[in-house]
Amino acid sequence: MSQPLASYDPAVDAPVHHHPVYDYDSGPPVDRGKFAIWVFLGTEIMFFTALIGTYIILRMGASEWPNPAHRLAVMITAGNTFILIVSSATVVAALNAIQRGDRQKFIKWWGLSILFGSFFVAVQMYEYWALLVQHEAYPKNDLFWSTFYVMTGFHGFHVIVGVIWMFCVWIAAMRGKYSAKNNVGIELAGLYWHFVDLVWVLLFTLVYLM
Amino acid sequence: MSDNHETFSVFKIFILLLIMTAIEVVYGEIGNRYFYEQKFWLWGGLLLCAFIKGYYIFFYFMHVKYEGMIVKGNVLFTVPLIIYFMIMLTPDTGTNPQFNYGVAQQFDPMTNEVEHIGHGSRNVVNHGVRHLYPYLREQDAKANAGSAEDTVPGSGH
Repeated sequence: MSQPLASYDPAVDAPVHHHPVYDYDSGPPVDRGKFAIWVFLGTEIMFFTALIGTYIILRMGASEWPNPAHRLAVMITAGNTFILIVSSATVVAALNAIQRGDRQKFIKWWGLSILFGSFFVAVQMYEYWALLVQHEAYPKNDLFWSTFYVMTGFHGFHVIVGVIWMFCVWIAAMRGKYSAKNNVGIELAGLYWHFVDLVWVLLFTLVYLM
Repeated sequence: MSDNHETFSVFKIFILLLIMTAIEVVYGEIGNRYFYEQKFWLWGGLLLCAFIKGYYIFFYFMHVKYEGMIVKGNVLFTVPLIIYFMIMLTPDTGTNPQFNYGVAQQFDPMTNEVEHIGHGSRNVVNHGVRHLYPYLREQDAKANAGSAEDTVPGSGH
């Protein structure tokens, strides 16, 4: 016969641990932040796949499509692509500097990356202004413009988020947060920035050149 | 891998990316001017350049090449999903004749005709470069021949 419930005192009778306690970490053998950013980047890949895939399908389905060189300033955007690739390289140089413990060089390279990223955003905003105000190229006009604004707009939003994130990391670094041993936060921001660069490489080819 | 070696590799990849970008832009400019209609060569060359650049950014700048299977598995699972997405979407939108008309046009189910909707913009399709588009060239040829036959969806192929 079981004991009545009144005699059960959880403060005394309940076991402290309901699971085995190990002296090692049972999580994945990678840094949690790094694991999280890769899961996030996986979702971002699917997001841009939806946009780019839909663009390809719509374009394949259209019986004719305007030559992008006749509608867009390809050479200006090619220069902008160059700027974004340079910013990716400076991010790698900055990460290498902090991993060697050289904080001054890190601040210099990282600041350059922020500058290049901001320049990219500025050029894209100028392009939008020229298209919308000067050429009256609105998204409602036709499929070319609607897909153009959706894809470059979402990418531009990601670039702005990346610049803000890198700026926050830069401020934290100047306050002494990061060192040769503690630099995961920098690596995460860098991974996001490289991803934004990678997406742009594909978008530039698909939207501006093809 | 020592830091010096990695920095040297990054510099080489950076130069490679710049060269590939330059080649891609020049190839695109030449292709759009001289063989715009030959999509296989134009698109094939451009996509090859883009994928080479993407490969080096993904595997070297993002250090995926040096990561373990946990990180790689987080990303590589998207590849079959991308293929699945494209396969599922293509028969619907890509090959549906109801969608098979030009970019500056839309199908009007009330009149069963395709109409131009490039209003309000300096739409190059309607301003001076019609000869670049076989579809519009065909329309102009019909108009010049005095034909009153209008376009219907799918007639571009």
